[in-house]
Amino acid sequence: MDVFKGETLGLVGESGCGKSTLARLIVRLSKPDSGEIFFDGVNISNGDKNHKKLLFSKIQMIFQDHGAALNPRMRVGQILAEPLKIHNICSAGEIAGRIGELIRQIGLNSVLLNSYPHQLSGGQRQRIGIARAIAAEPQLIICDEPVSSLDVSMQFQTAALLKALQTQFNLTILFISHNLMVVKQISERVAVMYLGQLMELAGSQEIYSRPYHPYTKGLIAAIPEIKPGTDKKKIAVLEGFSGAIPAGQGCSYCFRCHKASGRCFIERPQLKAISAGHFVACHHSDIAGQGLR
Amino acid sequence: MPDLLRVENLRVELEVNQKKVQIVKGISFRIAKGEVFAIVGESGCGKTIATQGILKLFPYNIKAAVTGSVFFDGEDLLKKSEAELSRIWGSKIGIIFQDPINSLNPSMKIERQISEVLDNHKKLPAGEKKEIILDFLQKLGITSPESCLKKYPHQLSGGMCQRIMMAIALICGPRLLIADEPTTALDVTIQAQIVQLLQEFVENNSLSLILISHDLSLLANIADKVAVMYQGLILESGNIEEIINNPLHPYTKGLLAAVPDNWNFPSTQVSVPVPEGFSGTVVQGEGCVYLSSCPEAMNICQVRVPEEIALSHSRRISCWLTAPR
Ligand SMILES: Nc1ncnc2c1ncn2[C@@H]1O[C@H](COP(=O)(O)OP(=O)(O)OP(=O)(O)O)[C@@H](O)[C@H]1O
Ligand SMILES: Nc1ncnc2c1ncn2[C@@H]1O[C@H](COP(=O)(O)OP(=O)(O)OP(=O)(O)O)[C@@H](O)[C@H]1O
Ligand SMILES: [Mg+2]
Ligand SMILES: [Mg+2]
Repeated sequence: MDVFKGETLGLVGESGCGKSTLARLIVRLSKPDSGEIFFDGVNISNGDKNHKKLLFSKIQMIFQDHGAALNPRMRVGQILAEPLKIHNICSAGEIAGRIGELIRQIGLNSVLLNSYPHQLSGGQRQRIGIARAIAAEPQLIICDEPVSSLDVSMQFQTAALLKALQTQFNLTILFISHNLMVVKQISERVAVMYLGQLMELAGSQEIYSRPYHPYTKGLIAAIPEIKPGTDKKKIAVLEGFSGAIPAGQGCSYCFRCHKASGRCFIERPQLKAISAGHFVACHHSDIAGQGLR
Repeated sequence: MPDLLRVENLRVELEVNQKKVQIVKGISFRIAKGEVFAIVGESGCGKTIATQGILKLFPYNIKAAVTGSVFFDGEDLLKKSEAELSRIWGSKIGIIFQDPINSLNPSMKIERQISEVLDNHKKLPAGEKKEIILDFLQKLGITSPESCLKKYPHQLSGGMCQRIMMAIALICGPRLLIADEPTTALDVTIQAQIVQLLQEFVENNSLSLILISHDLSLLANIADKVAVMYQGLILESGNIEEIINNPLHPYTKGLLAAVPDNWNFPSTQVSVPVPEGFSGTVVQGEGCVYLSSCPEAMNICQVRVPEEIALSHSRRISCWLTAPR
């Protein structure tokens, strides 16, 4: 898959399907068994030490596990000063000012600069992770569940901050989240993963209004609504066991799919375009695709 | 239904850089058997600290002073010794912490972490124990429970850790479950499955639940009552339908209006307004805590703290707009 320069690509999918693993591969915290990753045209997956340095300054990651991602022995102020120093973002004299600006941008009071990570609430820690990532002025930010501990208005503010940086610096964002409403608001395109495979990729508007893959459809149908008092029992649950992995080379979704037929159990579908910019990995899309051509 | 938990005037004071700061400033509520009680409120308002105060269960490096009373099954938990409390934690009261990955023991395999709670509170033959554990993980939507049990926490995804925490919290069949953001790392389909499971526990075992979440749609689906917290105080509480359909406190109104729908991102603005009293740093003055952000503030709001009044059997509010004067 491609992430275009200056875009926000939303990445959604079942818990445990490999979203964080993909993120870790890009920042080289894990090694791929095979395949290649290119950043700005350079192959960064071949283990070259020089690349590591280069990437370190251009790619930043906001970790899902924000508690563990912050050094417990450093105060918030020191945590934020570190990337400014390492990447020579500003002179020693300007650091304090820049830190003050960062902490304001993420909606925290500057008294928290003296706190240690364990003295912060879940959402406050999460925002420190965001501030640290943007402090390094990267070209690509990988956000792994960056707003999961924030209330809705804070989610909006954070998304707005990322979007503003995007317009200002042509920042590229890979946005991993289970919050499908936030993904819809922030992403230009959305990719859907299931058990380590890409199932569908399309423009944000398109995928929410015309989901094609049965898994994407199930996912979008399961978005809960804020309506109390309606029948509490009626929450959509996908049928079958999640993650029943087919023994052979079949589609990873075949055991849960209501459309699955013979071919789905023996042959893995490849990602194919069903219309301009809308890709689906599903044998049933062959028919749809032909209809279009 | 009789109350299972009654919290009265709970206050929690923490020591921050040698200074004492009151984080939870006197909250009261009651929860009946089989009731789902939700707590909402902005990040940093004290939801987590409040529930830690109820249990007197703080991270080891936190110095906290808790006052008030917490009646659980008729007995005041705050008067109990740590040894007495440790028999209640995990058996009668289950807890799902907000940060599941860091709450699990990093150097212990999942199987041992779950069987340890069972061992502490129930004596079961090994075979039966394993059966129970596997069955439980299956219900939680864990793909291959056998292999999951052999892993360490860092080998699991965020959502899997969250469900392991849930297994540890529920496996002894507690009477009360405190769940702090239990579904943040779960996709919507697994979330729906977990919510159903929780509802089964609530209905079949009359489990009571304290649910902290920013996800209003989750609360609307599962909660009976909700308390809206702001800077260490409960500003409004009542039945979930009443609060969502007819919020009265200006803060609640704002909270409910902020649904992720048609967000228009400004192209330049990049600063977030900072709530003034953040982190309990501002000494509370005479007026209402919500004063500086309130679009409907009146003169009286600046000079006197609104007292909590009961509007009906279930509904309470602290706001001069609704107070009889
Ligand atoms: N270090 C590891 N060793 C072995 N297995 C691992 C390791 N890290 C992750 N896994 C496994 O890889 C799979 C994908 O995990 P990953 O964390 O990428 O999922 P995810 O899509 O981010 O899920 P979530 O939404 O729950 O965070 C999981 O089944 C997990 O158990
Ligand atoms: N150990 C600590 N020492 C000092 N202050 C603390 C400590 N832990 C939390 N705080 C402060 O107490 C306040 C309440 O924190 P709490 O974790 O209860 O918030 P919360 O409502 O759970 O927020 P979130 O939704 O972000 O998890 C925060 O402003 C936080 O900075
Ligand atoms: Mg993950
Ligand atoms: Mg919290």
